[in-house]
Amino acid sequence: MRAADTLTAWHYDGQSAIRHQLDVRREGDTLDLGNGDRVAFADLRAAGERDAPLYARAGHDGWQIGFFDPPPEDWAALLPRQERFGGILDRIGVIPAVLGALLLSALGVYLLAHAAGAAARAVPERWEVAFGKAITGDDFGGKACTGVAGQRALDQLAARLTTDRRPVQVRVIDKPIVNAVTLPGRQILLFSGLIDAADTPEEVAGVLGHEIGHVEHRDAMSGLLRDFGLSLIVGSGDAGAFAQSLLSSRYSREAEQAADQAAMDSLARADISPAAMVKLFDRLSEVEKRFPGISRAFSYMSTHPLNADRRAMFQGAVRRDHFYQSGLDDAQWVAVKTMCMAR
Amino acid sequence: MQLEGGGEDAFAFTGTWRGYLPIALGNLALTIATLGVYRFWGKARERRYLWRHTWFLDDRLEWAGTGREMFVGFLIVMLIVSPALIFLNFGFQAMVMRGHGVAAGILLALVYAFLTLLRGIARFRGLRYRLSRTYWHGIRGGSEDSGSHYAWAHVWKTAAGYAPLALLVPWSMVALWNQRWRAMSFGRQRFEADAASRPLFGRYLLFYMAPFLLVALSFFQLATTGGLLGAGVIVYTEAPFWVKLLLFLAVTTSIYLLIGMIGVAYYSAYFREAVAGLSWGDMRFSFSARTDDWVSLLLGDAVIVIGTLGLGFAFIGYRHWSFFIRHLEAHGPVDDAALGQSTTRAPREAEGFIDAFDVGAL
Repeated sequence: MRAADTLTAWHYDGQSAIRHQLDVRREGDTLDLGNGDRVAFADLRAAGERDAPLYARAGHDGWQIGFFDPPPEDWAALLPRQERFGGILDRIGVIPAVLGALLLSALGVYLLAHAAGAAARAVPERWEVAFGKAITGDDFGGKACTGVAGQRALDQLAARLTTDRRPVQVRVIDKPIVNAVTLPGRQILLFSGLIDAADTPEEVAGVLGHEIGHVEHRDAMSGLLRDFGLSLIVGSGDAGAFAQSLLSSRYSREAEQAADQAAMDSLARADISPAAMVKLFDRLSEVEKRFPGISRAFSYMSTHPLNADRRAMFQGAVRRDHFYQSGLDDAQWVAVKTMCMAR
Repeated sequence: MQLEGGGEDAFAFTGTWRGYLPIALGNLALTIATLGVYRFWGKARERRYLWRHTWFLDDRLEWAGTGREMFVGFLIVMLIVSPALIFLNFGFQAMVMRGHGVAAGILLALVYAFLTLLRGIARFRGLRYRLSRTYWHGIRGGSEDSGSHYAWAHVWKTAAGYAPLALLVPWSMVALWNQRWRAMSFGRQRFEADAASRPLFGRYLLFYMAPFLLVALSFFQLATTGGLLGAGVIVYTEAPFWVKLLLFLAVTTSIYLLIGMIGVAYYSAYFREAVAGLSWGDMRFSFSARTDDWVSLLLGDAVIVIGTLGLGFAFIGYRHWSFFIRHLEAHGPVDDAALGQSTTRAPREAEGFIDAFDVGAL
């Protein structure tokens, strides 16, 4: 018959692998293990549950104790509480934790996306130019088209479209892709597929105006910084990779809208009709509808999707009864159209 | 007390998928909600459950690792690896663009050698970490070794395995397994590993020849179904349509299945051989899974993941661990009085290396 303040326990001492059976007695706030060893309740750590709760001992590698019968209340009050999930999760519950984490993640991504814009504007222009050059090299690995007259015509068009004194570097890349991209360092690449698909110089001017908007808002740099920041926090997690690909697949909608606004402003300044942009949209989406498989080469439509709003905005910017100037004269337009043949 | 490992019964897994389901779902929800950051803590929870439901002889295993240490390990790895990854993503292309092709190529080779070295450390550290956080009877495992010797051996043995047209790969795999395990201990007792690679060469050659078999099969298919054979050569046949269709299906599926199956057949032989060479004091180990067991494990994985549109991924760790334990056997005695606590230092940083490179410890 054992006393009420004694419990039978099994025990590993962490020194050998022998499993001990002990009669453990409580004396105030310590346990007398009956083998000459005494442990303060304060040194016990919850070590999870097997059939009954387990306890480890601070500073003793491998030390474990578990009671065969549930401990009486006065013991239980002194024993550490078992963790279910651990830390914060036990305190606030799993579902609130999931909701809280979702909120925090959304906030974090939102802040990052905006902080990236501010950070990009803080990067000295000279660094950005040097960085852009490092990425593209001087001649894009020999892919840039070299027609001199065409290049001059595009440079003049770009100069008409921008109010900024610093030049924008426009290059045509010989690839059958209907798209245009902005790279860090005030660089705009037009792919020859886009030049081929354009019927008039005004259509090219519209696309160029949009990309100049990205240049002036430094969207390429902030996109890069945002991706870099995201990859730092999110790392290579499965859910993370998914979120990242969603986020970095394109500029934010606000950036696209701002670039559109910039395009319309610069078209108005240069006295070029925005109606051409609508024509280009309509024609590209018609081609895409007819040849669905072609959409990869027509990536302009997927990176700059034509929604009704966008189309209406460009259409609405057209001044009626106004005689617009042309984007390029005939000789210049021919030079642009043929500038990749000189390679 | 002398405990005796009686083969199949030495290890047992008592977990159930119902018992594990709340953990899987909780981990999944929290991992998504935290954009992946929770996965380290999720892994620790998963292991606590799996280890606790794993019996060795007369008692269960305990997992003492924490999510925080795995997270820190991951951060350390990212710090070391990201310069190399940034070079692979941006630098290499930029250098080629600017016409420094040769220099870029040399640098690329160095980066790959560096990553292989890290992979070696990862393998070693991952195993050491798992042993050091696994308790049985209050005793844990570990290694005195930092793994740097092993990492260099990993580089040169891997290179030597691939150099003669990849014919020595089984040798390098087995040699590295032995070297890894010889550095490990559980309690004060070291592991011994003397697996041989010679019995594996037959299966490996089959795997090695499989691509040639594939080419032969495609010619056979072409000959019966007709079609365009590169360089404008067209093959016509007179076989009826249903024969063509049946053959097309049979040959296409068998090409895909065959290569996979032969690969699995080699791996199952490798793993059986490697475990059979392992001993711990007077105890020897063996692994009973044969090719068909592995195939059904992998097919089951595929069905579960595809059938749940990816959500079943949370169960893969559980399936693989239970597969491993159910097929692991131990033979021979352990003296629990003589088995002292490990004197190895418990590694502080976790298996971030393992997670980053995605290699299993066993």
